[in-house]
Amino acid sequence: MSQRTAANNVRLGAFVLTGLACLIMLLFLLGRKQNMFGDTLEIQADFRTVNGLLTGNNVRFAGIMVGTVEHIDIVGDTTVRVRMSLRREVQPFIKKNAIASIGTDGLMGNTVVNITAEPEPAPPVTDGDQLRARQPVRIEAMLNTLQRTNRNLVGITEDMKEVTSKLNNSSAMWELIGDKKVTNSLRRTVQNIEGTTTRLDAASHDVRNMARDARRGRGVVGYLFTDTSFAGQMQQTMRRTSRLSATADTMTSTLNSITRKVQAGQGPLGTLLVDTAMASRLEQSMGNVEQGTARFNESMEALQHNFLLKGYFKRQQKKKARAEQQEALQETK
Amino acid sequence: MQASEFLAEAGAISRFAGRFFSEGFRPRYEVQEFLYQCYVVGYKSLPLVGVTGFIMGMVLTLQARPTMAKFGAEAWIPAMVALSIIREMGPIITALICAGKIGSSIGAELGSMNVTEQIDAMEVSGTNPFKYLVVTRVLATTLMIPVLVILADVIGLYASYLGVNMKGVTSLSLFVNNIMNRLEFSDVVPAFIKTFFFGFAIGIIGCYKGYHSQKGTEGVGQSANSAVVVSSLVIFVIDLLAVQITGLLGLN
Repeated sequence: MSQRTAANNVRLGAFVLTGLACLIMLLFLLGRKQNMFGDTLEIQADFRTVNGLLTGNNVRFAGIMVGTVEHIDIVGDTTVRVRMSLRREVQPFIKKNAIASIGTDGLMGNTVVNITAEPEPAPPVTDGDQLRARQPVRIEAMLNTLQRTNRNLVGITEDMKEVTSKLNNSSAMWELIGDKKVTNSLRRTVQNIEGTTTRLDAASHDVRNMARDARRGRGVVGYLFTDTSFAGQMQQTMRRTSRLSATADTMTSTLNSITRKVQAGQGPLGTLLVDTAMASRLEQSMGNVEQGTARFNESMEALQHNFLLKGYFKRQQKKKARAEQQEALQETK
Repeated sequence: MQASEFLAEAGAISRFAGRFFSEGFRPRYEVQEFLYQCYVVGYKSLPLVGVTGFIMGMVLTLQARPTMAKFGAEAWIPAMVALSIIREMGPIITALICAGKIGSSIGAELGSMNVTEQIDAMEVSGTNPFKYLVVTRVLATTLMIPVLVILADVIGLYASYLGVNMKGVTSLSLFVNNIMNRLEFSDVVPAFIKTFFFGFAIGIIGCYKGYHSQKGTEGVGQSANSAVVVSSLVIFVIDLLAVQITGLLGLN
């Protein structure tokens, strides 16, 4: 039995150990992928539907595989709780406000849970935290929307067709497009607009300069805004004005009391204004005065015709006529 | 008659297997002979299995390439080849090769011992021939075929890596990552477990055929031949069963 030596056993041992090492290596690599070894962190998220997510599916954070789905429990008729175990070393990077969503790996691949970071700051997750969930995009809903979009597109393209055919048939449009005058005037208009804007620009520049000067205390407005002595004077003026208005106030109140007295019929003026008997008497007196003057007029007429005074009156008339003649002569000159 | 003959054969093999279990785990153990059989079955088969695995991996890769390139899925070649090697091709081809090599040698060895009445002589001299001849060989095949399958898988995957690099450039780490991303425990573990059954079938059928060979030199050839044929067939049946059972367990 020369074949059954120790050398054979060594070869056998090497053979078996190589095979076992390969197996263990393979299983270890797979186990590391599925988070069997090493420290893990458990978090959860509630979804309405999980789109065929299975226990053991990958969890991705920013596209990197960070863990696997541990349990999927039905909590209520609208809630499915997904518990995930993540590698401990990603804990500082996943914040409490991160959002979990369910997606697929490519178009046809496995279902995965994606954890997306939010821009707002938040503390990192701890064991047992619940992440907010974004409901998965369902292909059905997408297709529904697409169907509606398609229908709209059909309408839009039909309208477009109509519009283009109308445009093609209208000669006015083509004339407008072909007219060189229109383009020239358009160009001029644009030039004018350009000039106007340049001027506007300059004006706004001036305004800006003025505002800057005013801020620095230059110019009238600046003086107004910045000079403190002026403000003092202004204050004084205002004080005086207010004193004046107070005086005016007292004056008006005095006047007021006077008018009140007058209205009440106190004092001579009040009597004059208010007493009706007095008024009627005054009226009577006025009537008497009128009669008196009428009679005086008659007396004077009689005097003119009196022979004693006739000569005087005639001379008076002549003098008057001469003065009028002289005036007329001066005017003709 | 055919059916009853087949049933009688099946019953006899079952009883033979039952005897293996009842006698195999009782002392005294033939450790030296077991180790020698392991050496013969495992180590001596490695070159053959290695070459087969290497060619299998490379050919699968090169064959898959044109079709995958048509779909623009060349990046999937490593994962696809790895899945087919680890799940099916590695175990089944290694088992068939071993059925041809080991099953025939066991059948011929035990058959010629039976023909030359060495087995009877062993019994007379006080050694339990079943323990010494059958139990050691069956245990050796049962434990060595899985090791051979794993080595064949590894060699096949390395050949696939070479095959991918023949038409493109892939680093080894990318290749491994591509495979590991797709591979699950459910791909590896059932495929590994079924290889024990393959090994057991090869050993037990080879031993049965040799142990119960007809007298005469003709009988030796016949037992060697039928050991290979029956064990190959049984391997396929076990493979079918394995796929059904893993499917029932939800591991497919």
